[in-house]
Amino acid sequence: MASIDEKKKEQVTHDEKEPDLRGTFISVLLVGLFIIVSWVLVYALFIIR
Amino acid sequence: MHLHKFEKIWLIVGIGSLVVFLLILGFGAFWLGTHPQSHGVTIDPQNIEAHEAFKPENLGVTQVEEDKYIINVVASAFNYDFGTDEDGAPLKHIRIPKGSTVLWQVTSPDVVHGFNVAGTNVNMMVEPGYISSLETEMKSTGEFTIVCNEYCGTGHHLMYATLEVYE
Repeated sequence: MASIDEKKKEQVTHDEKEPDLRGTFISVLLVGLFIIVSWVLVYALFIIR
Repeated sequence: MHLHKFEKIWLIVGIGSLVVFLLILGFGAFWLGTHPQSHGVTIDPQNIEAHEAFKPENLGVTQVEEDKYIINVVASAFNYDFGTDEDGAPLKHIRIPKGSTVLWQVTSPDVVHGFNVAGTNVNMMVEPGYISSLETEMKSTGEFTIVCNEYCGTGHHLMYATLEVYE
């Protein structure tokens, strides 16, 4: 019985579509970009002063 | 384990930038020798005058080479001691030619003070028992206010002086 249940579960997960993560991806890259740009600006300020 | 394609990308970007930042940190620390301004150079706070740099006659600006200066300062509640002028009046305005290299050495006999030459990279915490030092090149001319940026007591706002960098 247990093995049949497991098989069913497997099938269910395989049938699921991959989630659409485009929005998340862009948001993550924007946060990363913000961190890198602020770091570069602060470093430039340190160098020119 | 299944990872979404996008997850792989942002993990690589995140871990990659961590590695880059750590490499830059290591380069600054081990190659350029960057360190906190008071990195374990100790002094007896009860008797700072026993140290050569903080004898009353050695305070303030000392020229050591053509374009190299040492500035020794005692920060105490609520005053910066840059020594005295010819008339014996306390110095509150010091002058340095542009482009010179300055070694700042500051200590405190009482509480924690700040030493910030506003608008430059000279910004140190001054702790009793330690000598804070920092070497900088004064790149731009102008008048810079030296302020205490660590709250040190009721007269904290009275702790300031002026640095003039001239052409």
